[in-house]
Amino acid sequence: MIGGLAARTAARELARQRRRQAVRRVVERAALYALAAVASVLCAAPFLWSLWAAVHEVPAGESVRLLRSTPFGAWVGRTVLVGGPVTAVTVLLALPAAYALRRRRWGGTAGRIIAVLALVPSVLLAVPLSWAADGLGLGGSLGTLVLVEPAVTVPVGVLLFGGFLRAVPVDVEEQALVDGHSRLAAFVRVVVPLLRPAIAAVAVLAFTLAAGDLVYARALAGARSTVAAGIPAHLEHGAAPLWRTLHLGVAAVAVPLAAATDLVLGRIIAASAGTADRT
Amino acid sequence: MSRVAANTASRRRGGLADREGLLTWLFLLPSVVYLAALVLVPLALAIALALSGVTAAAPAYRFTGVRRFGSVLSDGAFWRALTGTLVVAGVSTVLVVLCGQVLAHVLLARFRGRWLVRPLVLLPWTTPAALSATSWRWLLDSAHSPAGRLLRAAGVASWHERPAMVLGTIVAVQVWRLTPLAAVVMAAGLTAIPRDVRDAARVDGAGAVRRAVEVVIPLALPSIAVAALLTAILTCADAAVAAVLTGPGGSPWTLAALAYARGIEGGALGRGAAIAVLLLPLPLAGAAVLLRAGRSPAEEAA
Amino acid sequence: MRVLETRGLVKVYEGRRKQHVRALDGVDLTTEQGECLALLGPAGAGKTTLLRTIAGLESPTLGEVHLGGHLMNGLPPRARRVGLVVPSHALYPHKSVRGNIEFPLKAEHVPRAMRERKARWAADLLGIPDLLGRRPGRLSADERRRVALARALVREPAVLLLDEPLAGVDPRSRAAARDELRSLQRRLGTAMICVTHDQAEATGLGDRVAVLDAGRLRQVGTPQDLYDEPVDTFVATLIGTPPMNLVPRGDRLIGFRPEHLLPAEEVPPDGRVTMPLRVDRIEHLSGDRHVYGRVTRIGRETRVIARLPATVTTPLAGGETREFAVPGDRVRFFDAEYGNRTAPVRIGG
Repeated sequence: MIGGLAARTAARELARQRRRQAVRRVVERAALYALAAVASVLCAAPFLWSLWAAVHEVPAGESVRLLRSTPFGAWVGRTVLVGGPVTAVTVLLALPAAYALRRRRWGGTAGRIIAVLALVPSVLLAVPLSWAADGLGLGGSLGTLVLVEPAVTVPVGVLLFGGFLRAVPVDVEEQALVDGHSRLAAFVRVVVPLLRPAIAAVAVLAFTLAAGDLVYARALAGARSTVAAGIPAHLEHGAAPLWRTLHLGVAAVAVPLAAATDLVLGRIIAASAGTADRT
Repeated sequence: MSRVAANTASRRRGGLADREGLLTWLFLLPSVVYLAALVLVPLALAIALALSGVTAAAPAYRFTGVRRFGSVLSDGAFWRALTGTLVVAGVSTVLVVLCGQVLAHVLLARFRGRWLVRPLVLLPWTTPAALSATSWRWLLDSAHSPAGRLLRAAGVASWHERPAMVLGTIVAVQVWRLTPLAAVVMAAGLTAIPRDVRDAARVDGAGAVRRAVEVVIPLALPSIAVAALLTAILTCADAAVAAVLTGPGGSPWTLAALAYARGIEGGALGRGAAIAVLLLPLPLAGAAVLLRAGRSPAEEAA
Repeated sequence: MRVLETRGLVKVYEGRRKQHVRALDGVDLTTEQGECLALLGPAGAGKTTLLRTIAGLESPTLGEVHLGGHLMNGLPPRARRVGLVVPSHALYPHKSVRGNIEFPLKAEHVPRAMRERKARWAADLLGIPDLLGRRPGRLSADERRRVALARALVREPAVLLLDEPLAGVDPRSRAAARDELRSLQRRLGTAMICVTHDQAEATGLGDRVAVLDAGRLRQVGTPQDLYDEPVDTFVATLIGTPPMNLVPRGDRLIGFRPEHLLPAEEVPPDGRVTMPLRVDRIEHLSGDRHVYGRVTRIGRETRVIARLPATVTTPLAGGETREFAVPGDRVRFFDAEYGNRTAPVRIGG
């Protein structure tokens, strides 16, 4: 009799816990969706407003015509012209450097010192660099900008490649040595192909950083060079319709960059997880 | 066997491609030289410029000594910008870490519609800061936008006039801009926690709160610290947001923006350099902490 | 012909806080053409370090490595022409099976047609010609092992170094895999060094077995030698399942194999050593009876195991005590303190 009672109480208790678990699950999911929705709206707020204003207050054809009347196309072209070479230089410099650092005992410390260089305020460097560039007759050119931007992107690249390299198994690399290849050949034919996803991630990040820079662009290539420098300068004395259309341009720049970053985000998280125990 | 002998003779020295030490330096040197030339040399130049009266109009170097710093320090704009920088960096860091931790969980969670949410959430990080700052400025200025209406309803005709409002706006844009980055860093920290450790805590009967407090947060603490430091350094160093929000001609509210307005937009190179040099200790201290914190116990043992 | 010789190899790693770890401590080893040498030892004995030192992935602190009569010290791995298979198999994930097998040939700039022919040959040898177009990620553990072997063989190296070659093979097909590996090696006539921590694998695979412990070679010999005449208690207990019984007696240990400990009536009386055995427990394993119990009289009371073949039908039950015996020529003696073999002593009875 008593045993039966205990069993029934236990069954009731289990049922209660099961219900509670189910409720908790529903609440957790609902909270997650609510957070995701709020985060999306907040993060996209200025762009949503740009789109809404552009569509509602000006006819679409008018917006496009106005955008055409600005040097928006030229700004985008110059941004690509700067971002492309900067991306290439970043990968070419950072990948070998990160590889060399991984193979040394002091590599971790040296890598962190290099990474910290990315955090030096760009204003601090832009002032003397613009002075020096003007002195050397290199001021106001996109070439100078291409030369200088890697100062920010290379340290970031070294840090990320370091994380990615940790995922390349050493024994595969050593196998290439035993299979008759030199260290250089093992790097080029085994390590680099295995790092292709990493290269894509670093390239996207380097391009985003180069395209997003205002200070160096303004200091070295002038106010009317890249998108980041051009739009704020152009808008300074602009009227409301121009604002609306140019913000359409902002969205046109922002969305591809975010979409490209989203493609490589998983890898960036994984690589930083590799470095997180060290950084 | 004879093949081995032949190979042995020709490779005894080992070609360039086999000399490990040399290869290390060949791989490392380009980056080191590049960064030295473009970071360390300008750093020295900045200090030299700060001790001079150089302007864009008169670029010849004339040494003026520490007088420049005296004039900068006696300027009210400098002290206002310094206070502004400290307030913005401090408040932003706290808010970014809190929001970033929430966002990190959203980034890692699996749910329907994730493909749409993730790129949207990344927008603030990937959009050029100068452009998002212009967008925000328009959003707040425009009488028709939801934010503008909200401001007017609160009785604020123009947020440019009240210091607290300006600083609040800068903080809001910085938090908006840096939260995704901090979330990515903290998401990395969360994924680095071994799954079986979390599972063990679940099986051990720990509730969600206990799990968070006793397992997840202690293990994720290094990445939280890194995210906080990164945010602090980046808000200190960033000139774009504050400069664009105030617009040219206005008196900027942070040191970096002040240096940008004076040195680059205004062409007073020596003055800009002096302000920027005075800004340096803030990020420098953060970087020192970052380097020190980086030496994990595992690495010290190795 | 001597394919490989190491002389006095010492490898010291600098561990944490300047502590030195001697992974190898004076290893002298030779391998003849066409021989399979098994390197046996517990985890951390230095087996893999020895293999990596021979391959050139580690440079020895002291000592010499000779391959084909030439000193190899200071040469990069690629100059040594050895084949290596590591436990993870280390296949190049971005290359197809064909690309993996051809990769060592590319290093030597072998012409394309020749490369294809050789890759085909190696794949046929290991029975994987239909896998050539696949990616390593889509292979089973056994297929990966075969690809790694084919890649190691394709250059026809003078010596094949295999680190735990049967690590991923499931226990049921181990014997078959062992057999296949041996017949492959015999057909090619390559010298082979197999690292393993499994004594059954070592004795089954090796023409000779080298027992390594804490960086030192304990004994090198044929599996029979090691089984019958172990030089010390380490080798005696490492080889054979169940291991050799060791009964302490004064400053000696009396050792005998479980299959030699039989009921007294099964052992010819002259020269035998008898002892009473109290049976604790009996296990039936593939026809044999493993009797767990304690013996007294010949030394201190000790737990021992007796392995009774199916032909011995003496009824036994837990708890009973019965007279057991070991033939006198099967008893080995070891020093109780150092464990090394010593001269026999007289045991009464």
